[in-house]
Amino acid sequence: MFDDTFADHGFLQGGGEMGRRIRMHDWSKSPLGPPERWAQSLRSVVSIMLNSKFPMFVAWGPDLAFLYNDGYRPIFGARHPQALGLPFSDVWADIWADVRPLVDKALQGEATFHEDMHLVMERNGYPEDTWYTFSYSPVRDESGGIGGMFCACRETTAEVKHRAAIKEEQQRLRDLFQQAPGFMAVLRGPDHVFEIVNESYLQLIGHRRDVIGRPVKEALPEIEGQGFIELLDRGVKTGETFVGRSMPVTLQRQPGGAVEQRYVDLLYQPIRNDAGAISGIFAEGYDVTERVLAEEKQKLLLRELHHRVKNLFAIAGGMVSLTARTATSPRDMAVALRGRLDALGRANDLIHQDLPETVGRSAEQTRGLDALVRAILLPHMEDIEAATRVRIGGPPLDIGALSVTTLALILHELATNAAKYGALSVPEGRVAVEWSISGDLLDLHWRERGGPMITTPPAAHGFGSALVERSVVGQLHGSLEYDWRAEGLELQLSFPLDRLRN
Amino acid sequence: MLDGAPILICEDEPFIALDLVASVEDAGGRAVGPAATVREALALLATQEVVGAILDVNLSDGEVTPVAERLLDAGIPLVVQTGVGLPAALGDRIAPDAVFSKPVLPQKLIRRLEDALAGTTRR
Repeated sequence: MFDDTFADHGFLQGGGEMGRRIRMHDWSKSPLGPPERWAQSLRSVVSIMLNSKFPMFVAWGPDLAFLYNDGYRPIFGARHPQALGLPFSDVWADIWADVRPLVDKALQGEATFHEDMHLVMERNGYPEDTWYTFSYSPVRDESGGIGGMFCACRETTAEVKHRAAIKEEQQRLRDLFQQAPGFMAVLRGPDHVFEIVNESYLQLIGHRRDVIGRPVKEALPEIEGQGFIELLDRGVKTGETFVGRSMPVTLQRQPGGAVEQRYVDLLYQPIRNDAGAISGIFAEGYDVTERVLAEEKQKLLLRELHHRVKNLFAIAGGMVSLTARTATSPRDMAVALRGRLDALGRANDLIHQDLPETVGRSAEQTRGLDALVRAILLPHMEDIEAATRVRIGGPPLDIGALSVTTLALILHELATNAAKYGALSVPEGRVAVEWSISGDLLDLHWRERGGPMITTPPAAHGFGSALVERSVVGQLHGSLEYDWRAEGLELQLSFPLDRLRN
Repeated sequence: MLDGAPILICEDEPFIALDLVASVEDAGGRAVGPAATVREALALLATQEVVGAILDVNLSDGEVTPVAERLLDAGIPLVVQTGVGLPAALGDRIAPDAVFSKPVLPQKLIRRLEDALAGTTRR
């Protein structure tokens, strides 16, 4: 398309689409008037603008009529091309409040420059965050006054957003590093100077904040001689990764405080620079002190359990031999042995409550004396009778693991004896087991009533009584006194409390 | 056979102790004890002569070490049964084959003691 006014207005040559549009525009209704009447200053600045590839606009005259070049078109978005020739305050009504002070300055003769200025534009029909780098310059006309303004500008929205995204990504990585559950540190150079450490690392070293920029040897002096600096040296020298598990480390975690034993899972990863040379070590790992201590505790428990099992087998072996010596028949032996083994088993149930994760145990079962007496006595009678035939009572008292077995066997022998010859051998017989604590002694009273009349105390006590006596005196360092009353046996037992807590 | 030889028995576990007593008697020996504590054992040694001993390591008032040392010093043969090993102080004074891990048959302990007694008589 060729335009016949072109010959008259040489200053409007070129300029691509916008040059063409300006040439074809009907300027008669504009305050600027037709181009042939434009002042030379306006002609010059429009010519510069049209022939530049840089986004530019000119606003001229009393209404600041808006002229722009091809480079400026994308900035206008959907407003192009209708905006041509309209007043500045109309075409940029959405940002007029923001830019008006800058426009006023230009019209007063003062140029301004802005880098990455944030403007919310509605150039495409919806609010958009945009950023611009631009300069507003006053343009003087032939009278020496300000005829209008000129602007060279560049939209920097994409760059600003890109920079923000990078910054955000860096922050995210920094947060990940800082908040990682494992400890991390970057050490630089042959002296292993702390470059960066995260929160977990600071926690490990007891919140000493002054490590950055200092060599490990100096920042954590207690580390020397524990082998870690040697491992770091080796990593720097050979480039080999080091992985250690449950490594003991002693750290002085409080200034002036005692050194503390911790355990760590550790990785030393040499860092190479672009040239391939080793420039430092990335140290990472976990403070596994709690895990290691728990494992050690478990090992101790297992060893303890092993000893208990061995001991139980030894006791059971003794029971078999001993029961065989007194039994009158295999059946007699089986009954007696089963009774003793069951008592041992029930005592063992009570002992193993102190082991963690014992399954299938109800809350009311405890290792208290009360629970023990019930566990041993109640199997000797029908459930329905138990409440009326046995009276159990005394203050709460915890019995130690070693003593529970002994006490259980004592009570079992007494109950067996009562079931064979005493109060529990007849339906109407009763047993009371009552205890009290006086000073550092437990006094336990065993009283049988309603059984067969006792005319003379039994002459020979037999193995059962010998067992009871040995258990009470030899093992629990207690004493016992039999009182064979006609109406039933009464037995006074006494134990030092410190033994029972074993 | 032990031929009436007095044998000290140190064992705090009643079933094991009484079984040992009966087993020593079965073998023709005479049981001294059983002592459940170190104190009891030392008191027995102060008043009675023994020619051999069967010792449990952990008695109810502590390790049997003082009793074992008294016997070793006097050249009296002994056998040991233990659930936890031997105390360090006794480690190199007692022959490994005289140390038995619980549980162990009383007859086995007595046989080893008889061998040791035969050895001392021969010497």
